[in-house]
Amino acid sequence: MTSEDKQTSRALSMIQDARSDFKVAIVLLIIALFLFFHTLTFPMSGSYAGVENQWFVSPALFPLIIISLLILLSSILLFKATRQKGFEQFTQLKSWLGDWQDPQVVNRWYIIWSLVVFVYVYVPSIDFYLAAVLFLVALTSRFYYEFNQSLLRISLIHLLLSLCLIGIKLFINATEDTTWLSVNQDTLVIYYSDLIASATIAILLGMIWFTPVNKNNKRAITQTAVVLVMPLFLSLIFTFLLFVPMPVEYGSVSNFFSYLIYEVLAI
Amino acid sequence: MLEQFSYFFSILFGLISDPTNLLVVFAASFIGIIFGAMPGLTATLGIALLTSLTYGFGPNIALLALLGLYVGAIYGGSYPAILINIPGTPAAAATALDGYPLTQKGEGGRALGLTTTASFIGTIIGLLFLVTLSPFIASMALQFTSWEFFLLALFGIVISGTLTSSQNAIKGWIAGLIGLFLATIGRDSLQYFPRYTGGMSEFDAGLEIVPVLIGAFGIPQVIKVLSQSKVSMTPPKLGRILPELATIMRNRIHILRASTIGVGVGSVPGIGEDIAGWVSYSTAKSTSTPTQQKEFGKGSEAAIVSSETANNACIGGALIPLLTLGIPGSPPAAMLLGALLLHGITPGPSIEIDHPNFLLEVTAIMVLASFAMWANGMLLAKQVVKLLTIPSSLFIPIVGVLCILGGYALGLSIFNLYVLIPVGIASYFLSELKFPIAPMVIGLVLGNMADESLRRALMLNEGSFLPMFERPVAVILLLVIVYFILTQFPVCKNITARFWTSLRQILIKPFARNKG
Repeated sequence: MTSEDKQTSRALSMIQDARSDFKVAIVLLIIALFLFFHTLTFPMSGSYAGVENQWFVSPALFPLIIISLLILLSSILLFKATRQKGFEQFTQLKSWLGDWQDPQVVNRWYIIWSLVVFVYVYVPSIDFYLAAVLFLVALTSRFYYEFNQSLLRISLIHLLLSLCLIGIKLFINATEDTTWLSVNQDTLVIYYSDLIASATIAILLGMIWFTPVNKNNKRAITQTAVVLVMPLFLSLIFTFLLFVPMPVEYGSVSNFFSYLIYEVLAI
Repeated sequence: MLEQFSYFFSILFGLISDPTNLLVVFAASFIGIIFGAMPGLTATLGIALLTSLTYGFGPNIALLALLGLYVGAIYGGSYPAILINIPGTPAAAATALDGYPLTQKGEGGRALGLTTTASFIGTIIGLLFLVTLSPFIASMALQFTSWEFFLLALFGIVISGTLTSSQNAIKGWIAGLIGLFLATIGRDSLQYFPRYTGGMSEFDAGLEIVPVLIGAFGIPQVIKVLSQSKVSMTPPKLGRILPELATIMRNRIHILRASTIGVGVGSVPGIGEDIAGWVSYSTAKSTSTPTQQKEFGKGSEAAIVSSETANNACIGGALIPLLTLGIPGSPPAAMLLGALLLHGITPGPSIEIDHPNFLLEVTAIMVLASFAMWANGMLLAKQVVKLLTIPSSLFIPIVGVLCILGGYALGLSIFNLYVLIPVGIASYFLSELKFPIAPMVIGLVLGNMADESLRRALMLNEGSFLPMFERPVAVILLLVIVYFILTQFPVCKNITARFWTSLRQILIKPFARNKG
C-alpha cells in the first residue's frame, strides 16, 4: 500500500467515523433529553414518603448530574462530527442498518434475530433443550456450511414457529396475566409447544442432510452430533448437578430425564 | 509479619492437602488456558460463565476456580498468538509480534516454554505487590470519607474512559456515563424512590450486575466472531517445551521492569492486561541496545518475556484496587467483583475486618493457580493446540447458549435474560462504533458507590462542597481528574506531550546510550 493509498483510506475512515458519531450523538441527545425531563419529575426538595426533603438527598441529584454530562459530551461529539460533515447520509436507511449486499451485515442481523427469537420466544415457551437445539441449528447451519441460499427459508421457518408458539401460549388455557413473554406453566401448552418445536428441528436437520449444497456428509454428522448432544449435556449439568431448574420447568425432555434419574435410576 | 507468613503457608498447605482443591484449580486453569487460546473467547467471558457454574459451591471452591481460570486465560492467549499469529486475547497481541516469527523459525515450542515461565514469574511478582501494598492501601482507605469514594468512582470513569479510547476520549467518558446511568436504575437506597423502573417490580433492586456483564462481554463476542469470515487454523508442530530458565535469567531486568509496569497498569481502574502488554513491549524496546532493538519483530526473547510477564503481573495489580477499594482494575476483575458479591464477599477497605485474612487466602489461591498454570502449560500444551483446530462456527454458538443459561441461572430469573439481550446488542453496536465497553462496566459497578457517597457527603456537610477541598486525598484525586480532562483539549495535549517527550529524553536516552 502506497502512502497515498494509506492517506485515502485514513480519510475515508475519518468520514465514516464522523458519520457514525453524528448518528450516535443525535440518538444519545434525544434519549438524554427525554431522561432529563423525566428525572425532573422525581422528588426534589418537597416531601416524599413523609420525609421533608433537601435538594442534596434528592434521588434526582446524581441522575441529573450524569444526564447533564451526557448531554454536554453528546453535544461536543455532535459538534465535532458536524464539522467533519458527519451529517451526510444521515437520512439514508442504509447508513443506519448497513449495506445488505455485504455478507457481514447480513450475518450480523441474522445472529441478532436468532438471539432475540431464542431468548424472547423459545426459552419461555419450550423445553430448554429444544430451544437450545433450535438456536444451535440456526447458527451452525449458517456458518458451518455455505448455506446462503436457504437463509430466507430458514428465517421464515423460525418466524412461523415463533408465531405458532406465541399463538399457543396466548390462546390455549391462557390466564389474565399471560403475555407473549410469560413463561409457560400449563402442561398442555408446554406439550403442544414442544411437539411443534421437535417437528421443526426434524425439518431443519432434514434440510441440512438433504440440501444439494451440502455434499459433505462428515460435516453434517459432526454438526448434528454437536447440536443434539451439547445442549443435552449443558441442560443435564445445570439441572441435576447445579440444581438449576430450567425456565420451562415441566418441558418434555426435562420431565423425561427427571423420571429417568429420580424414578428409574432412583439417584 | 512472621505470623502472617506462617498463616499464609498454613493456608497454602491446607489447600494443597485437599485433593478436591487441587482438582478444581488444575481443571479451572486448564479451562482458562483453553478460553485464552480460542480466538473469540476471553478471560472476562470465561470468568462470567464460570461464575454461574460455581454459584452453588462455597466461596473457597468458587475462588479457586475463578482465580485459576483468570490466571490460565491471560496466559492462554499466547498460544494462538505464537502459533498462528492470531492473539487469543487482546492481552497477547504484543506477544504475537515476536512469538510468531519464532514459530516460523521452527521454535514454537521454545517460545511457548518462554511465555509459560515468564507468565508464571509475572503472576508471582504481581502477587508480591498485592500482598505487600494491599494492607497499606486498605488501612489508608479506611480513613476515606464519602468525598474520596465519590471522587474515586469518578476517577475510575475518567481514567478508564481516557485510556481505553485513545483516539477520542469523549467516547470513553460517554461509555462510562452510560454505565453510571444504568447503575441508577431501581429504587434509590436513601429514599427508596423508584428510578426509571417503568413500573416493573423486577427493576426495583436495580440491574443484576453479573447477567449485565455477561451481556456486555459475551453477546458482542458471539455476534462479532460469527459475523466475521471464518479463519482456518492449522497449528504448526511444536517440538519440546522446556522452562527456558537460562533465557529467563538473561532477561531478568526486562522481567523486573515488565512486572512493575504490569502491576502499575493493572492497578489503574478499568484498563487491563492488553495495555500492560503493549506498554511493557514498547518500554522494553526503547530501553534495549540498538542491536537488541533490531531483533524486535523478528523473534526477540526480550519482547516475548516483557509482554507476557507484564500481562500476567497485571492480574495482581488489578486485584489491588479491587480488594482494597472495591474498584476493579480490569474488565476480568470487574467480572470477579460480581462473582465475589454473589458469594457474599464485598471487597473494599473493610474486607480484612469482615473477612479476616482474606487477602492471604486470595494470595495462597493465586500461588496455587500460578503453579497449576505453569504445570498445565508445560505438560498439556500439545492438547490445547489440538483444540485450536475446532472451527469457531461450531463452538461460538455453544458459548452463546452458555451465556444465556449462565445469565438465567444467576438469580433463576428469566427477566435477567430480557435485560441481558438488549445490553448485549447495545454493547455490540457501541463497540462497533468505537465506544469502549470497559468504562461502561466500571460505571455500572461504581455507580451506586458514587451516588450514595455524593449524597451522604452532602448530607453530612449540609449541602456544602467546600469540605471536599480540605481533604488531601480528595484534592489529589480531583487534580488527577482535571488533568486527564484538560489533556484532551488540543492546546493542553500539545503542552503535556512536549513535557513528557523532554522528560523521556532526559531520563531514558542517556541510559540507553550507556548500555549501547
